[in-house]
Amino acid sequence: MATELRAVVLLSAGIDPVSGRPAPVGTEIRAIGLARALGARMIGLHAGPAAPVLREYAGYGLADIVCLDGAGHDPVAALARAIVSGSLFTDGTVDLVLAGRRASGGMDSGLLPYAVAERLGWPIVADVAEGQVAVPASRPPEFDVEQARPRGTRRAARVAAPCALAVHDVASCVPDFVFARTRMAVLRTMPSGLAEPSAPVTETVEERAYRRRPRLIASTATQAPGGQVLVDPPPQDAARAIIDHLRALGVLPPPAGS
Amino acid sequence: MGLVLVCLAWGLAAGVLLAARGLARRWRQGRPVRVDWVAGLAAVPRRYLVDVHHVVERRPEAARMHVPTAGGLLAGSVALMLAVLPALRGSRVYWAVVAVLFAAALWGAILVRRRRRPVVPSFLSAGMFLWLPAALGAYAGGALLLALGMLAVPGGGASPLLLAPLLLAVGGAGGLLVQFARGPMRHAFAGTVWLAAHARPGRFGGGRDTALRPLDLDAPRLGALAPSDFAWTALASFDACIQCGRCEQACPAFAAGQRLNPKALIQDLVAATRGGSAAEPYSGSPAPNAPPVACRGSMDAPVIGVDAMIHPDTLWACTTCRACVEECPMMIEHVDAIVDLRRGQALMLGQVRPGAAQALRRMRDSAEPGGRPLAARADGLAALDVPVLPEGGETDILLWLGEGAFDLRYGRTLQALVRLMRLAGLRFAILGEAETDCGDLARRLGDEATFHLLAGEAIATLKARTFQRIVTADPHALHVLRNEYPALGGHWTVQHHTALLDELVTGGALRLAPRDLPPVAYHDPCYLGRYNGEIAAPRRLLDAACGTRVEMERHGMRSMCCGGGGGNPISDVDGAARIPDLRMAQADAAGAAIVAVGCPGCTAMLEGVPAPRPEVRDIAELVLDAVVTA
Amino acid sequence: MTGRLRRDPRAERAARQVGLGARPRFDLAQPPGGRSPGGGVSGIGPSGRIRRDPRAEQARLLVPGGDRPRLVRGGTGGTGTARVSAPAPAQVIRVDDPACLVVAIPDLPDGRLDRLDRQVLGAARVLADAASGAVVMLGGAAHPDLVQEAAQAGADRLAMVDTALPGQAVLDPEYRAAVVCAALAALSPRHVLFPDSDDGADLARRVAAHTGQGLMTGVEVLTARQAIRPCRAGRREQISAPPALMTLAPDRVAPYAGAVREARLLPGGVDPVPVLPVPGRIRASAPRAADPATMKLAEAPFVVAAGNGVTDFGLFRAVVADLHATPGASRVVCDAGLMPRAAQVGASGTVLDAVCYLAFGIAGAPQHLQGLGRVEHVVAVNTDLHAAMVARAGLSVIADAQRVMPAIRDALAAEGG
Ligand SMILES: Cc1cc2nc3c(=O)[nH]c(=O)nc-3n(C[C@H](O)[C@H](O)[C@H](O)COP(=O)(O)OP(=O)(O)OC[C@H]3O[C@@H](n4cnc5c(N)ncnc54)[C@H](O)[C@@H]3O)c2cc1C
Ligand code: SF4
Ligand code: SF4
Repeated sequence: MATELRAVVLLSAGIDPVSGRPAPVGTEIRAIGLARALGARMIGLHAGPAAPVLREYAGYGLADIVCLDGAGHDPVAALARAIVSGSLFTDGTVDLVLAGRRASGGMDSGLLPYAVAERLGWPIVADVAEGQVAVPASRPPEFDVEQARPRGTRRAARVAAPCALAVHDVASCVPDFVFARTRMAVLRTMPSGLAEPSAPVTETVEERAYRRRPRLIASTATQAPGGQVLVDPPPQDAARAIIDHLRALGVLPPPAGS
Repeated sequence: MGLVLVCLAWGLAAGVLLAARGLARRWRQGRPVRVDWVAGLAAVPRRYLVDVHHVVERRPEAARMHVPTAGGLLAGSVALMLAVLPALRGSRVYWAVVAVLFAAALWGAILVRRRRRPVVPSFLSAGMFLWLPAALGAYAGGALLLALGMLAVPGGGASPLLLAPLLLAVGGAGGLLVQFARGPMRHAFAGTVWLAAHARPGRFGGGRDTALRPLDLDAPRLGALAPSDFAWTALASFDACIQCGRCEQACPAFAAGQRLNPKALIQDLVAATRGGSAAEPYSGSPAPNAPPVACRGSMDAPVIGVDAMIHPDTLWACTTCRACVEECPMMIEHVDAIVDLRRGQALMLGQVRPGAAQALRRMRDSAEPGGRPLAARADGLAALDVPVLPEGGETDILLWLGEGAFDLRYGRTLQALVRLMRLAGLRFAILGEAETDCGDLARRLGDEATFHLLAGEAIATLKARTFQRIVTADPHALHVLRNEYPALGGHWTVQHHTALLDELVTGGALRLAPRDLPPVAYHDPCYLGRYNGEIAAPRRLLDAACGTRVEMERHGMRSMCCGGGGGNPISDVDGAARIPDLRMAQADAAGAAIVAVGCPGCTAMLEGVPAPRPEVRDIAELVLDAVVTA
Repeated sequence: MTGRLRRDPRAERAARQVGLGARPRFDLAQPPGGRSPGGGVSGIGPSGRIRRDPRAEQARLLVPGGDRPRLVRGGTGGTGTARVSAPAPAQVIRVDDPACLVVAIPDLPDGRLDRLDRQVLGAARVLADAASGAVVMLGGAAHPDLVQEAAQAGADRLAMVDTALPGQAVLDPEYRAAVVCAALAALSPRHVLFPDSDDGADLARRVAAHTGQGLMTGVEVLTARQAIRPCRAGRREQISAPPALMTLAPDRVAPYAGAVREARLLPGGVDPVPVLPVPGRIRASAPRAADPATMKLAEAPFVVAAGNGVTDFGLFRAVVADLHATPGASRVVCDAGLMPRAAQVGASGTVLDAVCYLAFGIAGAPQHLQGLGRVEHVVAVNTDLHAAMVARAGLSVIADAQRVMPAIRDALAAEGG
């Protein structure tokens, strides 16, 4: 690569959905993998105090993690400020902001990368399943990304640096976890530079333990037969029953003629 | 002439010493370890004569070969060296003794030759082994003839007739030196050093030492990436391998064609220390189906990789069953070597198989390899209302459920066990949601960091509660809790459920009436049998609970693995067959209609064997069926 | 607008359609010129109570999971139905003086409402009805049937905007967001609802980031008084009054099932057409459907898998291709090298997210069934009636796979020829 990309990976202090224990977020791990796939040098950026779980991201390939102290009340401003400050990389500005499409452990709205991009005035492409630097190389570099869409569908998009990419869960660029890296990682704390909020932020949002609620059934399924067992049918009947069932579910296209 | 022979013997000894120095120099490039040489060397004769021969004797023909060859050669040569004393040189008795010793060695050489005639069996190696009998025979035969000559012509003139045998002996000695410096004969020296400096002295004299050693996670290099990362004693142990192929014959992964041959693995490690393809080429059976590798290596170069010596799949096929270790006459610790290599791959490079990487991540994130909620572990026991021991609580027996408890099938085993414990009036409890993974899987996969994390949590949980002992139906958990937690500060009495049930039946707390069942064969779990030596209690229980018990050919300490250990099932190494299928076929061949098991891993693996096959029942289930309630 | 004649939305739309491309676009700057083709003045007062169709309602409220269907009652389930009334589909409900507007912005794949789009409109109805408001559907490129669909789905108004970048073949999500922001600014709605789909959520976040308004994503419960969404890795939930911007999680709120709504086309598009400071920063192409044969197993909607009961793998692969499915396999088959390891379904293989799973000769060991975690519909072909896979299946055929597979091929071939 002609010029080396400088990427910032946004990190959250995630929790594991099953156990509720602190754990790195899968999409953010993939964001690290995407940065590696793009051949970028990277710094992890976390708006908030240093937490032990951040060190785990280091195992996936982030050698340098910066925590922004005092960013709690306005993480978007703090992150954007740090990204444009020029103080993250010693040799240049940030080309790329990478994030997971949704955090796991906070409000999990997926809004943060958009808000940061908006603040920076950079374009953002979300749901990235894979990406590469576009050829021919240009300055600023362009990226060809594939956005994941339902049912394995993909959408190609091209975007130029500086930009933000939010990575989808289906991205296959999961880097290997290397314990030895976690020992070498540097966790730095930098002041966020934000003024203390004049008035304490009052959150009106009420929270409680999640309640699982049943979903509406798929409309197609109501038409499909259920729990049906055919014992020793003639193969033709079996084939017909299966084909009809698959059509009722909508997974098999109707016959060409109809 | 006598003096010439003396010179020959001393010359041979000097050559051997020189070659030994070369070996020692190579080993010194390994990681230094402290060795208690005084105690070690003092123990060598006993370790050799008792422990090694205990293993060698399992193959009488091998023992018959080795005793005259090694004994005759060593004693004859030492005797010849003693002939520096002129008095001995003049003694006919002395020459008669020398002749007898070399005659024995010659007979040994003939037997060595016979092992590979008319064809080299698949488990043996060819290469330098092919002319080893010739070198042995020439040296022993030449020396024998010369000794006979000395016997016939006392004082020993320089009869030209003796020139031919002399040349023969010199030639043979030269050949033996080559065999010693570069070939299999180095096993004599390397084996002796390894016996003296063995990494697991507790194994000798009928003891057992199977716990993996904790790794210092702050060390700059973790595990073994290159040969020089191994302890030097381990390097010596690799040189001690005589390529007898017993490990290969015992290895379940090899039998299933899963890219692993412990013998080839050890030899590849040896070759790596000698410069890869530059070394004497390996001529035994390779790791089955393993894709070709570049065969490049050196003391400090990576050993694992397609561009190195050993294909990565080889490492992950191992079930850590210790069958190879059990069979190895040189007391080599294959599992330690494999785990060292796995540690290097996992901790330094993050190179584990995808299924394993996923399990390891879940273990780090949610303390459970399947990523299931910890509260679901006891779901299978929900109907039985087993008390949960809270922090600070006290009970007699803590029942450790293990990973298998998440599986419905294994839940039935645990239900049977709980019912039996209730019948016996025991006071017990489970940890409920507080039970986390014990770390067995992480440790066998070489991820010592995750093991330490999990073990630390489990030890803290256990320390916060009071109980007399831990009972578990999972031999893997048993091994970790009983043998591996002590090094991390957790000391408890840990019992397998079959030991507890045996105690209850023997003590009269449970009465059994043998049921009229079709033949039952017991499959020993590796981690209960070989790792913990418990092979009697389960059989006693089955004898009390079932009508006929049959034994598979491989049973007890030499049982064959079900394929479920060491992370093999989640590592998904391609093979030609599946280990549990092979094991089930053995049960079938033994005429068993029921295979009794005592491990969730074995249950899952053997139940995964396609039908028709014998039924799989846990001992607890069979005992519950046979219990007589008054 | 009171007392206006009923309009023929279809004719109006046709009148506004510009160009003849595959994707019709509408020029909303043109005043509606269509004339009512007669028919009674609609608008049902609060008088007419609806007759309920319990059967249909039940069908809509069925929930998946478990062998026995469960119903969601109460909550938001029936609000849409109970509040509005329409004795016969011929009559159309009109809201003429809405107290407020609730905007729904459906995805409109292929220019039509999909399942989640209808739910979004249903949710918008819930909010609008409680506040005597009107539901405005904000849409783009449309199918000819869209207006009618929107009317049935509960839209009182239709605001059509062109979100494609003028003169460009590529899509620019930033432009789309800018157009939507401009349209919303003109409408000043009380609530805006998006589907929590990939595209819908993307748009919603762009709009929220741009306008600085709070966004509640993935709402699972929505009533007039509160909206509930999961947070903290799905372990907790957040409850608040319905905020300005929301994305609605799939299958949580029932679609509107009341009488047809007016779906009156609002005049104007966005005026002025927004100009991005840097247009075309993101150039996205149209989604490409994945090739089922090669797509990732974890994402495949329809997986056909072979187990130990399959002996003829050539035949199996042919059936998979004929069914346009993605091939999978049990571990036994992968261990034997008959299918690639990447095809393995199960605990140590891939966990599926498919709509349907068709298993030939797979017993259904627990480790295998773990791989079917989220699969709703399972079809089993197995010689063993008592196989666990048969118990898991919605349709089971107890027969030799080697005989059923060719029959499927033949049946499909007969249809095609
Ligand atoms: C730790 C662990 C992890 C595992 N992970 C996985 C995993 O990820 N994925 C996985 O699949 N397995 C996994 N297994 C293996 C699993 O336990 C089973 O062994 C395996 O799933 C069985 O595959 P099967 O159903 O194809 O074969 P079988 O068990 O042999 O079943 C074959 C089925 O085909 C039926 N059948 C036979 N002939 C015919 C015919 N002519 N026509 C129709 N039907 C026929 C039989 O009735 C039977 O039901 C794992 C096991 C362990 C221990
Ligand atoms: S490792 Fe041991 S058992 Fe295996 S071939 Fe070498 S000496 Fe024999
Ligand atoms: S431990 Fe078992 S599987 Fe591993 S090499 Fe030895 S015999 Fe083979």
